[in-house]
Amino acid sequence: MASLKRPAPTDGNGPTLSSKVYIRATRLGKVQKIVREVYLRKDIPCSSKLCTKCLANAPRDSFGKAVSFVLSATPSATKCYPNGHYTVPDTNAFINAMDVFEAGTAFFDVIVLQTVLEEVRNHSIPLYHRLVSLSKNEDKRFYVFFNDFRQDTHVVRDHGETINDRNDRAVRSATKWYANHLADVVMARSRCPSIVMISDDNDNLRKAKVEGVDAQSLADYVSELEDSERLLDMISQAKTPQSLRGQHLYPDYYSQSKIQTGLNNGTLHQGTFSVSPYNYLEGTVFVSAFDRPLLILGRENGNRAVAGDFVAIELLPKAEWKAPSTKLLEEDNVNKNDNPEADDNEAIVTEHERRLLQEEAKKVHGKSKEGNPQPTARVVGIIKRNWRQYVGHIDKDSVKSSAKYSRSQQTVFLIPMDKRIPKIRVRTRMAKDLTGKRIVVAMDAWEQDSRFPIGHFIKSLGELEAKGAETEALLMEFDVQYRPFPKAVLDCLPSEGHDWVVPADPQDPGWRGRRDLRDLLVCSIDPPGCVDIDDALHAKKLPNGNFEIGVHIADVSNFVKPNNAMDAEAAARGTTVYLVDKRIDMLPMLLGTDLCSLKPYVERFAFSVIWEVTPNAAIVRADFTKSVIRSREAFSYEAAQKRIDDKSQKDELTDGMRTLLVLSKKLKQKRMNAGALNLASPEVRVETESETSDPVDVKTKQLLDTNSLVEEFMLLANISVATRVHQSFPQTALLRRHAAPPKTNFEELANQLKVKMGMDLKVDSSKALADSLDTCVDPQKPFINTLVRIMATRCMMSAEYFSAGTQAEPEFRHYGLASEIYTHFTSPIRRYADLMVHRQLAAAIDYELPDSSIHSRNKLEAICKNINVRHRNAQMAGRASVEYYVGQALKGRVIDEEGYVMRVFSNGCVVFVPRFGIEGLIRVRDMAEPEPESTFDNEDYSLTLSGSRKAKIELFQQVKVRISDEAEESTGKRKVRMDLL
Amino acid sequence: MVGLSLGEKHFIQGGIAQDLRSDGRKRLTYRPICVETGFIPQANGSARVRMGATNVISTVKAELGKPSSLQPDKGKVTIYVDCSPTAEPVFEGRGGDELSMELSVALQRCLLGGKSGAGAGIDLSSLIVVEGKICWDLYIDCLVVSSDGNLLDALGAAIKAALSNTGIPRVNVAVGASGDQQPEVDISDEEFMQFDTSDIPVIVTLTKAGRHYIVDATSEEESQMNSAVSISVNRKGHICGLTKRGGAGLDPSIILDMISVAKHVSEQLINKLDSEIAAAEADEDES
Amino acid sequence: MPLDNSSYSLALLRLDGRRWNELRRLSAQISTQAAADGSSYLEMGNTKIICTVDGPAEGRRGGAGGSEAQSGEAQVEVNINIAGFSGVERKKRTRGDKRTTEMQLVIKEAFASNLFTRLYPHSTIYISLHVLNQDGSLLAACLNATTLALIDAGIPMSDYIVACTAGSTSSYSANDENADPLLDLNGLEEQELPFLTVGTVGATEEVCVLAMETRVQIQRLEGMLAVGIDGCKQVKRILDGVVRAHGKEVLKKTL
Repeated sequence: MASLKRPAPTDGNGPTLSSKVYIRATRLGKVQKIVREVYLRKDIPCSSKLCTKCLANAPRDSFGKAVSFVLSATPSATKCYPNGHYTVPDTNAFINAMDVFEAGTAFFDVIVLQTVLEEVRNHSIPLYHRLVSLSKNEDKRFYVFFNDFRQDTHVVRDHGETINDRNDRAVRSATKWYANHLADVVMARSRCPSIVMISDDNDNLRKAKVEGVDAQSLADYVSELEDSERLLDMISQAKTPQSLRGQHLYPDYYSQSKIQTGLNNGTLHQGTFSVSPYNYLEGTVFVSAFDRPLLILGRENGNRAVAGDFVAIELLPKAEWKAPSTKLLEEDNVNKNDNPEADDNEAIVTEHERRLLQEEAKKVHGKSKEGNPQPTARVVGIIKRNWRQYVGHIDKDSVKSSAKYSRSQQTVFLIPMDKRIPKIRVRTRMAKDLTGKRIVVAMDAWEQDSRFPIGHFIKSLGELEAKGAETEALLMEFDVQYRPFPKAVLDCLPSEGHDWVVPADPQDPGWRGRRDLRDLLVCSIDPPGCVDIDDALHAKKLPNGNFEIGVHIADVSNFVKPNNAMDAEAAARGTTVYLVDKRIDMLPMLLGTDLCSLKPYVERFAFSVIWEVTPNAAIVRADFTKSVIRSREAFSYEAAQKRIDDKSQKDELTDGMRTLLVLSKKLKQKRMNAGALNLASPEVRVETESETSDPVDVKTKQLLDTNSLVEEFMLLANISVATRVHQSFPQTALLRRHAAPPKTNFEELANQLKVKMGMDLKVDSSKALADSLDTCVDPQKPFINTLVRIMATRCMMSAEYFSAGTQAEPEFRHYGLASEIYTHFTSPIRRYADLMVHRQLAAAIDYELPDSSIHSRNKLEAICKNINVRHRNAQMAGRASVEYYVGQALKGRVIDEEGYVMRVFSNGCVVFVPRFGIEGLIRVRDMAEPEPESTFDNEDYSLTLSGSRKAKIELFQQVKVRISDEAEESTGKRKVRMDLL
Repeated sequence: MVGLSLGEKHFIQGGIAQDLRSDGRKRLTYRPICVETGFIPQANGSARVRMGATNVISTVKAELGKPSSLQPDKGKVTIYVDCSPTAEPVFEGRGGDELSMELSVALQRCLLGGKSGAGAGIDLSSLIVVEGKICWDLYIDCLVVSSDGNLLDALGAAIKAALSNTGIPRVNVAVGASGDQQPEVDISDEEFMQFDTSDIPVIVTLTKAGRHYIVDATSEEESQMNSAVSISVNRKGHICGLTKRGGAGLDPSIILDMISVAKHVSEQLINKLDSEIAAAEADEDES
Repeated sequence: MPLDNSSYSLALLRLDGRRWNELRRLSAQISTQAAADGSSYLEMGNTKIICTVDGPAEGRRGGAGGSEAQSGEAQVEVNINIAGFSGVERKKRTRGDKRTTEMQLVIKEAFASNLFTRLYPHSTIYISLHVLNQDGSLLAACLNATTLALIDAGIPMSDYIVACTAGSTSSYSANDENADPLLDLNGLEEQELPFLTVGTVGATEEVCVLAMETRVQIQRLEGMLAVGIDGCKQVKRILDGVVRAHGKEVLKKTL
């Protein structure tokens, strides 16, 4: 009788079999037993370049390419390890000090065990990805050793042994194996490197000692390294055990199941915690159950949530509802004198904050007839932290004066650049060196017994206010990937480099499916100095009296093929980021500014949209084709305008541009009639000296007819392409929508306009809004209209990319452009969305087969999510850059300018200065000495000053301000200061 | 079904009468029993039992469920038997379903006792995680791979073996959850709980052919049966369940006689089975 | 749970420690069921199959025998029973679902043309497959188990039918140009990666079964097919070994 048992393994050389069993609980509460086979092998190499034995049987892939070896033959030596050493970090080492491992100066030749990698992944996915990308970084020489698949190092869990203990044992056993293995294969004793296990687990270290495994604690190991102070600072502080004091400053979070139950039955809500830029103690959470965001006031109710965290909140009883604050509150001004070390008598709310709250309460009560208390809630749990690295500077006052000369460790405050982020407590030995620098820190934890979160130092970017440091700071702050393109990306470029030309022979495969449009009189119109020319245009009169209009877009998808390294990089970057003095490209320069760029006088591949339109700008038909063009000229907006206006120019090219201009005005009118909004944002341009790029002057951007000419045809092209792509890919077309803002968004603005200007803002549709915005004029104050538009823009939703299948068709609408459907097609050099749309359109017109990536819904959704974030970050980074340069341009100057009050608080106001496009806070206490008495009228949006200075400040009021710059005492940070004249 | 000639029938009946059956066994001798456990890795427990050419597999899968409101302090156990037509052509169509149902019900009755669950062979209260809220539901699935008579005894033995092979992950309940909330549970990957299977009865089926009765009848012998009584007996010699099959009536005294015989036979069977299970478990640990 | 295949590129190791071109442990036994004319038990990794063969015998269902009687060759009937407990999650009965029916048909057609059915006119060969545990490559395992059981039953055939699966290390949508082809996918790999089942007649390169249910870029197909055919050769060697060892065993007993 045969048995079902496997026969015992007979072959000696093949892999032997083991299995891994684990229990998995599914989301539906089911319990599954998962069984996986594990094949234990003998051919997993040690990957040391010293080992010829392993090199001889290095694994090969299906192309016959062997895996190259990672660990150096001459690893770095230290005092303890004169022969050089490889390190084997334990899981906790990576978790506590990933930043240290990523440092460019230390930790080379590291063996990452499979056991450790898996534990890291179970702990945190982002951390896992960082570790994987470290192991792909050739310079760092991190080798992932699959110890659980190698027979000699595979460890079976003993009866009664916890998984943790087993994994610790696996780490020790792999370390031991490495040491023995290298001793075997390296003949020369003096060249044989030591193998050092690094762990923060005392138990593991102790066992290692007993078993004769070379091991060190992370701190001990790092302190032997060069530059150890900096590295030690980079170790996470989260785990440092703090004896919990009797009293918790913050309330407990609810348990996970309680939160889940609460969310299910509707007593709790979830949403993203955002903090007011004017008042760091006022947070809001927008939850789906309510039209308006819920208010979260004060530190205690915020309960350790940081702006951006996804939180669970609970409504407070109605009696505790409050009105949104009418007060400006900036943390560094309120709590200047906190002591970072003193935890003992820490109160959650400082004395000063308490006083401010009292005043606040009085005011709310005083106005009880209509204090407008709003639903107020408190945070009861964090569903997902959204912490990132924060850039800031060290609060000088928090540095112990004695420490300025010593190297002892102390705790200091980091004041983040982002005002919505609380101060971060950082332990450092280098307080002296770091003061006055822009530094980057990571937040590690926020314990209940600590008023502020705790974090650790990552790196210093350089001196405060130094251009390089500030630029890098804001790139980091907005998560812009600014490192040079890696080699893998550059390898994807055409091998001809700058010598690449459109093939001369029309039989060349590059010409397949392309229309030869070289004889068309095409030109491009861009801002001055533009090198990445995305688009070019032409117009031609047809015999039937209609016009042929062409928009030609750089054919980037011809050079960037899906799924290669360059594509992945571009997808990750999402967009080119424009700073005042710097451009961070989405694609390598060779493509962006040369091969793709529709430069004049040379032939280029293009993707063309060609319409036949009537003289009334009605579209007869649209046609899409890949093409070859030769641009006749690259104009700046100004040059194009001049050429059009110059009556003496009678050539065909100029005539074409005139035709375009006439048609564009008609198109614009049509759009406006349909209800497109003419919105405004403060746009200024910083003039810089070309050599040093030091700012010289600030100018508001001028808009010419030619700007609008280009814009109209780009909009038209985008709309036509959107329609076409949606037709072919009803589920996966990548589109862009702009949702209609909820009416409540406009409530406050409408009320302000009504009270202060006697105007009626209609918000029923974009058309109604556009019309009523047109009526918001004050002949005395021409800028008011723009100001109102700026404020209206801030009430809108932001436009977003989406894939067609994720929204119902009516939701496709672009509110601002009043178009039923929209996408981005015209700037593929600088936007990844456009590149995707190019690929989709190419597939739609049967130019090429669709790649799987353009109709995989999951992939598209991931892309949309990423490019939406990148787009927003790029905009904010650009604005921050302008802000910084405006500040630099004003440095040392005192200028009196005209400004408008755009917000009034009970203790100050916000003034917008059109000339520089900046807004600034002016506090009552700075208006006169001593601080004048002030009465705030919430309904009238006015603030009446009495006492030392008599004045009335009203919303929309035109004021004169003096702009100067000041370096703040405590922080050494330069700020634009405004004073009311 | 086995089609037998008259001569064959006489041969079988004659053999039984003379206490020498066609395969050489005595009336109360079982065929050699062979047990293997743990070969279905994805189940929480599994066993295969072979008695001659009868070959059955039993598996146990555990899922978290909610105890019934009538018995908030007990977990639930369900037994399904699958007589696939792949095993025996007779099982094709309705025949297999009926037999599956009949065997399932008989096993349920013999091993799990009545509705109250009081007479269950395994301690159902050990399946409770949180009283009234969470319990383990055990699904015992049996598969008849090939059939040569005496399925019920073989299935009973297979279930017993599978249950002793079963490990259920330990569940830790988060404290503090109260009231109507569903408690939060944490399923351990490290600890397993085993069942005490010593109280699970074995099933002895006595098949009456002519004036005598035999144990462990083959298909051929079963075709000659006029009635059969299945008696489940536990280690203590207690009768846990009793099922009579087949149409012919039995004199109560014969039933009592059968019970006492079954009790006697069960002792040997239990011992045999226990040693087989122990050997199978040891074998599994080794590999 | 999505398959995280990202570690493959780090060391060219699959999630279970195999290389791209390695089969899982394949083990099999012959004559496991005394009652059947031919039987086998086969494991490809954790996919476990019992196969029994009955016949050639008189058709069981009289009514359907019309064409059979005239055809002059034996019919092949395949019945697959996937046990409810064979998957990760317990399912009640899967008999008669479309996938099973399709597999039955594929197996039936493969063997109908490979067996010398003309030797047994007016009769039927019954192939029954019990799936005890599933962990990928189900169809391939069924084909291999059937070959062994048919050999055990002594039904003449031109050569072994052997099968295995072949896939690719990168999913359809990831479409990595440097994806390696994969041999013999386990259940986890099958969930996410493109794969096909290929069966060949003996160690020849004659493909008799080819089934693919996933999408894959055409450029990758060639590599996958080549690896699959190579895998079939390995499977053939192993099955042949099983048959020969069993033959020796039988001889030893009879001597």
